[in-house]
Amino acid sequence: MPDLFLHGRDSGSPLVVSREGRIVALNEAARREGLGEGMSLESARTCWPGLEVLDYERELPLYQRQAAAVWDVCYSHTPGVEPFEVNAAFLDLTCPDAPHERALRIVRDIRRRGIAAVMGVGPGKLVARLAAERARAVAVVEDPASFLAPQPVEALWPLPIDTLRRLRRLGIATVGDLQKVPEEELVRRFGEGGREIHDLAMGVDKRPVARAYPPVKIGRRWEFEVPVVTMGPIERALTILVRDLHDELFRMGRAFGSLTLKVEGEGGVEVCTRRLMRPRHSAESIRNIVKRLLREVVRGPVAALELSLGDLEEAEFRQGLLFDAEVRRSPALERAIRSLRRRCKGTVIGWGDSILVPERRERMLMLWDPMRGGLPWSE
Amino acid sequence: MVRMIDAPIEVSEDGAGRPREFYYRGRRRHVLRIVEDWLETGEWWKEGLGALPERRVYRLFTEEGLLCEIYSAGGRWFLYRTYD
Repeated sequence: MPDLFLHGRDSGSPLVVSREGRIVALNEAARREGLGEGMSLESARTCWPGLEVLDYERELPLYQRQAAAVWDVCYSHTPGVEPFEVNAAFLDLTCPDAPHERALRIVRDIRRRGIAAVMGVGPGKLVARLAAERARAVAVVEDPASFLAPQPVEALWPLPIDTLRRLRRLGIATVGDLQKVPEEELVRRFGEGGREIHDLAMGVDKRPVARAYPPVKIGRRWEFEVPVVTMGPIERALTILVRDLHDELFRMGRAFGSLTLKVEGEGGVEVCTRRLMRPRHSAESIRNIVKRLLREVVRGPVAALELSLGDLEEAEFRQGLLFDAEVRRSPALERAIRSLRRRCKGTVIGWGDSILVPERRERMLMLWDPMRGGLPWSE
Repeated sequence: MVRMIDAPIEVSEDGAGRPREFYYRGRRRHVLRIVEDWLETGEWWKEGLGALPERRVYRLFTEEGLLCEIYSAGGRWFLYRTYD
């Protein structure tokens, strides 16, 4: 249910989310008025003309972005995050710890951010998703076959709709009915696909959770109102694209392994990709590569530019050591400190004196003989 | 794909100085909801031209279903980007 759409919007008045003319989510005030999921929006509006309605399709881009905040929380717990709807994802919780406890930590973490969340835990995606539909917080299925048996055969959601209809026509109404059919019989009727049908009915789902989040590629696009022929507007646009992409890369804590520049012009589309020997994360790296690629791809008037960073992976950030003499002499650092003092109206930053620290061997010896001195020291 | 624009726009503000509607490419866009707003301090450590100024950014949703960011800097408004 797209409850995420209601997050942060509850003013106490009835509020519903509609999709294809039906209510798919609603707040407590709407429930108290007798509204419910599945109700036709037209009927709801007839009874409550002032009803506030969020349209699922129209608001989707907004909530996809908000959902990313939830996926970030999930990613902080496991690298296996596979979003499959705007407000639902599969997580890989394979671990020796009690899965219930681990799942509960994730749900609590999400709820601390004010977003309702529930989780189903099972040996595969099939069971986990069905368990989540029944969970108040976390529901763990330890016996998938027993859990599935009483459910309608349509609960086997990975199967194509035609297969489910055919199973119904064969008189198979529940998953329990299907469990009683020998695998060989299913193979005879459905071919090799019968083995998958049998496995799913027994709660065996071998599909792994894909590592689909965070995205492995980010991009930005710039469209000119009229095609440009001079480099000035192109360079200005690229400056903005580079800066914005670098900001996102930094926030994600990622480095990029490839860069693609796409130029759309009156002569067609030119695309150039540069793959790096090792991942980089600095804005300067992006700028330098773009400068080199620009010469290769600009062939005439330019209508649009697209810049993408791909092959993203965890970045190792290194910060300059402030006690490093080279860093202290940096003009940029001096300007930054002057500017900070002006903004803060007084001296809030000053250079500290370096402290003489004995080398490690000397420190160890001094533990035994504190009167030692005059031997190798370093700053 | 995120589309970068960074073009000046005309904005009508409410009593609190928040955007109510804006005009871009001859079309009026009515702000349905301000999703978030924040202050970016800019590149205050850089002196001279080229440094990003301080700006107040609004991520908002229009009646037409456009999710975008606009910002005010130095008394002017700009449409910064739109999200597909």
